[in-house]
Amino acid sequence: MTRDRDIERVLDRFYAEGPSEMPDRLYLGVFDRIEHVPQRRLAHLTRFLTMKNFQFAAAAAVVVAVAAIGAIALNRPSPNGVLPTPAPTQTPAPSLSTVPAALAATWVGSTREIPGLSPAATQSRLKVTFSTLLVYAGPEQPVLSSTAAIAAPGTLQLTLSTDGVNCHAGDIGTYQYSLSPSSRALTLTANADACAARAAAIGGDWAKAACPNTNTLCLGDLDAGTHASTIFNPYVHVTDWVYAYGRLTYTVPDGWSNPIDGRHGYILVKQDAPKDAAIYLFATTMAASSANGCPTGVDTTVPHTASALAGWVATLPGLVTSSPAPVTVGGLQGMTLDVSVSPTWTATCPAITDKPYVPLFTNGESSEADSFDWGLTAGAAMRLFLLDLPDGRTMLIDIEAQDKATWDALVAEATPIVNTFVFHN
Amino acid sequence: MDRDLVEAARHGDREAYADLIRSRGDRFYALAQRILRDVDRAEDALQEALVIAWRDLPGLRDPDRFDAWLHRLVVRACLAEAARDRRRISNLRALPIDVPATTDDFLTVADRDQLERGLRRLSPQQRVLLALRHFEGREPAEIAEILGIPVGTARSRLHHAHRAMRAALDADARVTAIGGRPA
Repeated sequence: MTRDRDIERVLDRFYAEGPSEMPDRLYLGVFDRIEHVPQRRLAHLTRFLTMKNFQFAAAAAVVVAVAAIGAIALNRPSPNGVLPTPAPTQTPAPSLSTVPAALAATWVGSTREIPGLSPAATQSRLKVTFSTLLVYAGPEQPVLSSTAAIAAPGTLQLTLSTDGVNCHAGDIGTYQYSLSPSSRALTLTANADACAARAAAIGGDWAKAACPNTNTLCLGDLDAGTHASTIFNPYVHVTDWVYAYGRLTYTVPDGWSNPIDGRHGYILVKQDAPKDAAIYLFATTMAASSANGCPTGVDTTVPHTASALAGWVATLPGLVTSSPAPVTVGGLQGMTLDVSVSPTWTATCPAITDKPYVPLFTNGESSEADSFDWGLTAGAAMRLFLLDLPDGRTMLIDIEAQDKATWDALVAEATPIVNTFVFHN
Repeated sequence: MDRDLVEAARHGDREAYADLIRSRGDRFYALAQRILRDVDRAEDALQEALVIAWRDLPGLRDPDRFDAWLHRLVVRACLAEAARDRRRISNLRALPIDVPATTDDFLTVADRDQLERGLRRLSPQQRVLLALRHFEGREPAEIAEILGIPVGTARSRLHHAHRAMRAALDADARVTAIGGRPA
């Protein structure tokens, strides 16, 4: 960016970009909370009413909550801009009803082979709204777009909107759908479908991409059980990233979430843990150089192997570490060690934190979207797993919390999860 | 019309409050994101502001001041959120879906990266000033009212925020030029 540009004009343009629609979950979150928050000046009146007529007050609260949430759900466009009311291009039969909210989501799963589709599918995901089902088989526009409705309990009826992939507009398919109790897992089974490509594209098991950031494909809150990554691909450097569902699989108990599934990183958090207490995975890890307490780039004197990186960390000033020990995780071999900041360390990096800080790792990328700088703040603790990848890079798994007490508990719960990691190449 | 909704909400009508925030949520969400540069933190801050607004609404004596009052609460919640020491989880960007790639002959990707880094070097108060000025298009007098400061102070702080932004961009350029990379 040149110095001559008018900074105000640049900022005007810069600020015009970015998200501009408040997510529905945020509205619902607010309404869930205010159900339990009395208004300050009227608090005494609320208590009075509650004592005088508890049943009426409770019933009224439920009605108001349902009405408010229902009003939001029915009157507001969904995050993708589609009104959550049916807008079919054809008049549905009277027996058809709107797709239930539990189904209206983005669903991800293993890549399906779709007969007749050229180029071949490179990914598989479904976007279901209250009145449509879109199939994404690649990064381009959706294929096999259909209107959707419920024909009978548990039966989804799809009507193809346009010709394509050896199918014709108006082709009808009916599917049995089955949702897990949490509505986070979906199974679609074709009863009959005039469009064979659609049957191949959407049949089978799907996981709900309930990411807090609606523009991404992480899973959000997880059911107990085994899950797969969607975007994270440790087997290629981030600049060579390709979509590869299921590169990482893992098993979690109840109470865990996946808030980030990125091209070079993946995060698992325990839902009731303090923020930033998490299992972090990074696909490419190099030693960070530093100046004045802040990371400045790659320390090119440190080889990019697990043993070299572990040895380098163990000798960094400002850290207290355990001795690096050999480890195998998910089929990859490497080294593990525990790390915290020395109580005597005082160097800070004000751009990151005002607390004493030790820069540790980077991936050597300069773009904001692809880079990461990772370091340790005083008071926090890390258990590092540095794992050798086949192409000579090193992957990092970091069990980390911002205070020691939280970290001890987190390590006890996170280690069994890390032990279930499998990396699929 | 909104006056009636505010009055109803002041007296505990949650549905009226739903209507009020439904018509304003997008605007405040966008503002919070511009200040905090992080969607997760913006959501946290806005949710906090909207819950506080509900709790304290009976204390708002003039319903016509609802927007300005809520605006202040959102800005305060953003400042409180910015003050929290949080790691840069947002650095991990996932693959956007269904978001059409935008072509822009004015701001390059490198420009945006540099601006993001520059903003991170500013104080939260300076980021608030710049967002109010350049995202919402507020005049110094309006900014002063929102922040509860004299107009002259708002003008002065805005000027300093612009200077700080330019200095941050210059510093970023220097670091890049010597082959390093800013934090």
